[in-house]
Amino acid sequence: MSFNATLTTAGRTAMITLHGALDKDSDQEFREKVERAATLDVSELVLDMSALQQLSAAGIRAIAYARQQMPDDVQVVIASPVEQVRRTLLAADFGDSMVIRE
Amino acid sequence: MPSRHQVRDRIDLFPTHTIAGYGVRAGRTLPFGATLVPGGVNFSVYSGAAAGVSVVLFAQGSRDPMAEIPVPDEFRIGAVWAITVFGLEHEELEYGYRIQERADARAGDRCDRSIIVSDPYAKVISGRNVWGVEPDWSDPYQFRSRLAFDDVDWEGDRPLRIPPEDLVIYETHLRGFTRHPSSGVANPGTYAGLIEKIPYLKNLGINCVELLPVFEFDEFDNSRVNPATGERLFNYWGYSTVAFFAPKAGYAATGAFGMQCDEFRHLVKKLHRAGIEIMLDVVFNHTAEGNENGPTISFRGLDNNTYYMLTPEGYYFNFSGTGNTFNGNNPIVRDFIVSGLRYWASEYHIDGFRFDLASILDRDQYGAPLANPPLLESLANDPVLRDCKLVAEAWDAGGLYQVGSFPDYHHWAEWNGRYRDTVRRFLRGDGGLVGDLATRIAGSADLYAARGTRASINFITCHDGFSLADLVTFNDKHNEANGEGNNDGSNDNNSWNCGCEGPTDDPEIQRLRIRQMKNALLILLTSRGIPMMLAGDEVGQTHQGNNNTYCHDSPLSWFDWSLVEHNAELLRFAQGMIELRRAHPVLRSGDHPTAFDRVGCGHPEVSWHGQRPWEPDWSPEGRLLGVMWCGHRPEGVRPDYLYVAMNAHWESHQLELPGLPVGMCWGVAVDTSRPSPADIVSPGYEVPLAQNAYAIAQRSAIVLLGIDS
Repeated sequence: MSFNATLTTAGRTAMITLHGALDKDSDQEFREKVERAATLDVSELVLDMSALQQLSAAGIRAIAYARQQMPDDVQVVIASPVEQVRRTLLAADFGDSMVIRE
Repeated sequence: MPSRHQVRDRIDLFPTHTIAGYGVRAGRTLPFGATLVPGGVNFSVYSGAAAGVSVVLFAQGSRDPMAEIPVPDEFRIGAVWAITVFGLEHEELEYGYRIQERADARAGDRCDRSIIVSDPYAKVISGRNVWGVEPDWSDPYQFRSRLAFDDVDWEGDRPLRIPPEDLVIYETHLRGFTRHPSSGVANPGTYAGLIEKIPYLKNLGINCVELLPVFEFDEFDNSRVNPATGERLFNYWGYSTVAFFAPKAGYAATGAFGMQCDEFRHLVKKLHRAGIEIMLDVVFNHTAEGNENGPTISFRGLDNNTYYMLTPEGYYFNFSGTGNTFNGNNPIVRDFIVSGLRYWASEYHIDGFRFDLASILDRDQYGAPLANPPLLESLANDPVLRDCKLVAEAWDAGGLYQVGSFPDYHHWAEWNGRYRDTVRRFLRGDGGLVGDLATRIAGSADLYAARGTRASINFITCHDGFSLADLVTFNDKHNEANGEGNNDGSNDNNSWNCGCEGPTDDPEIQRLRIRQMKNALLILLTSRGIPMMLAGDEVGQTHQGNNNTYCHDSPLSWFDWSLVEHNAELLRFAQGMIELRRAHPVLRSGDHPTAFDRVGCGHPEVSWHGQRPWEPDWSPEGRLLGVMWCGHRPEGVRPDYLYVAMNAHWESHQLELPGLPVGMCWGVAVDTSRPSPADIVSPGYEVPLAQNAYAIAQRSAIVLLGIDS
C-alpha cells in the first residue's frame, strides 16, 4: 500500500494529512513533514489519520518522533484514526503526550 | 586543520559472501539471538550438538521458506554459529534454524534436520497471535521467531524499588482479569485491558501486580474437549513456556499486528505511574517441549543434552511433573536464564520475578540437590537484578520441599507454604495451632531468621488451590470440569465449608462465610512478611469448588466484575485492611519482632495474649490469640499501639486487654463480627472503649488501636 503525507497550515494549526500505510518504507516522508512542521510557529499539530489505513510498529515510532520533534508547548493531536489504526495506537503510550480526537 | 579522515560507516557492514542470493558475512557472536544491524540482521545461535546450522527465512505468514542460508563453518566461534544477512525486511521477517546433527551424536542428542527450530532468544514469536484462533496444524513450523524494534521511549520510567516489606502483592491472570463480559473494558483479556483496571487496583490499595505466565506459550498445548460437557479446555494458565524472551502475543490487543512488545511496555509504564510494581511468574523448571513424545520447538532440536536434565541413557528426568526438566545449573542454560531475566528487568522494567517450582533450580544435571547452586547464586548476585524481587516457590514435583531452606544468598524470598497451611487450619478451628500461628504472623523467624520478614511471602490463597470464597464454602475439591475424574488438584486444602458443602441460602452460613473471609484477610494483612492476595478474593470470587482451574478459559476462571457491587461489603473491608496496614509501619517491618521495647513505650515490640493479657493459651485446645504491637507511628511523634485478636473458637470470649499509657484507651478499628460499615472504620473514627475489656465474638477477629482517651 502506498503512502502520502501533506502538510498544511491554518492559523496557528499545522496539519499533516496521512494517506495509505505508515510503515518503515514510508516513515521517512512523514518524518520530513514533521521536521518542516517543527519549524513553523504553531500551537497545535494535527495528524489527520482519517485516510490512513495501516500503521505498523515503524509507523508508531514515526508518530512518537513527531511528539519528540515538536516543542513541548505544541499540542499534538491524532485525529480520526480508523479502527485498525486505533488498535495499533493502543500499543503506544501516547495518552499523556498526545490527544486522540475522533 | 580539519581531519581528512571521515568515518561514514562501520567497516564491518558489507557482505563478504553471497549465499542463497543474500549478501552475508561472518556475524557477531554476541549478543545471542537475532539483532538488527544497519542494513541487515545478525543471527547468533548456540548448539553443542550441531555439525552445521542453517538460517531459515520466511516472509511473514508464508508457509514455505523464502531462503535457507547455511552458515559457513568458518563463521563459527566455539559452538556458536553467527552470520549477518543483508537486505532483509525485518518487519515482515520470520526465521528459524535447521540443525545438522554431529556425526558423533551423543546419547540424548535429538537434532532433526527435518524440523525448523525456533530461536531461544527470540524477542517475538508469531504463531499464536490471537488467543484461541485455531492454527494451521499442518504448518510444520508453528512458533516462528521474529525481530522486534528495541527502541523505547520510557519517558522517565524507572523501576519503583518499593521496599519489599511495604508490598501488597496481587496475583492475577492477565487474560482472566478482564476477559469476563462484565469487565467493561475495550479490549478484554489483554495488556491494554489491564491498563483500564489500574484505577480499581489503586482504589483497592495494592502496590504490586504479580502476573501468571506472560512469556509466549501455546494455549492449545494439551487442549482437549471435556467429554462430559463438550467444553473446549485450554492451556489457560500458561505454565508451559515456548519462548522466554517474548511476551505472549495472544494477550495483546495488538497481537495481530505484532505490537505485543510495545503494548506490554505501555502496561508497565502505566502501572509504574500508578505506583504499582509488576512481577512476573516465570517458569524455568521445564519447557513446552514435554517429554520424548512432545514437540520439538527449540531447545530439544538445538541441544537436548545441554538444555534438559537427562539420564545417562538420554531419557528425560521429570521433576516438574510435565515431562521434562530444564537444566538450570548447566553453565549454558544458566547464562540463558540470567540473560533472560536481565532482559526483562532492563528492557521491560520488570520489578520482580516469581519462580515456579523453584527447587528444580537447585538441582544438578542428574537432579541431585546442590549445596551451592550456581544459578541461584548468579541470580541473587547479578548486578542488573540487584533491585529485583526474586521469589521462589520453594518446592518441586520431585519431592524437594525447601520452605525455609531455599538457598537464598540474602536475596531470595519464598512463598511461605507453612503460613498458608497454618492460617487455614487455624481459621477452620483446628486446635493446637496458636503457637505456630504466632510464629507465622510474626514473620516466621523459625524459617527466615537470617533474612528477616522480607523473605516470607505470606499467602492464604493463590492460583493453585481454592479461592478464598471456596476455602470457606467447600471441604472437598470439585474439579470434575477438568475432565480428569477429579483426580487432579490438591487434596490437602485445609478448608471448611462452614456447615454446608457448596452454595447455600442459609443466611447464618452465608454470614459466617463472609466473616471467615474477613478473618483471613485480617490475619494476612496484619502479619509481618509480604502479603500476597489472589485476584478476586476481595470480592468473593468463586470457582465453584474447582481448585485447579488451569484449563478453563471461561467464566469459571474469569474475574466476575459484577461481584464488585454484589460483594461491596467484602471489597470495602479488603480496602480498609490494606489501608490500615499502610498506616501502621509496625505491621510491616522488615525485621522479626523482638521482646524489647524498641520505642520507649513501656511495652515490648510484640507481646502475646490470651483471654487475659500476657497469658496466651499455647495449649492444644487453644483457639484464640492476641498480639500487641508497639512501634513508631508514621509521623514518628509517639508510639503506635495495635492489638489484634483472632478467635477461631465457636464460642465468644471476654478479653481482658493489655494496659495502655495514661491518657490513652483502646479504640475499635476492626471487628469482623460486626455488620458493615461497623466491621472496619475509617482512620480516626475508632470507637473508644470505656473499659480495658472486649467481647470477641465466635470465629471473628479484631484490631484495636491505642488512641487518646
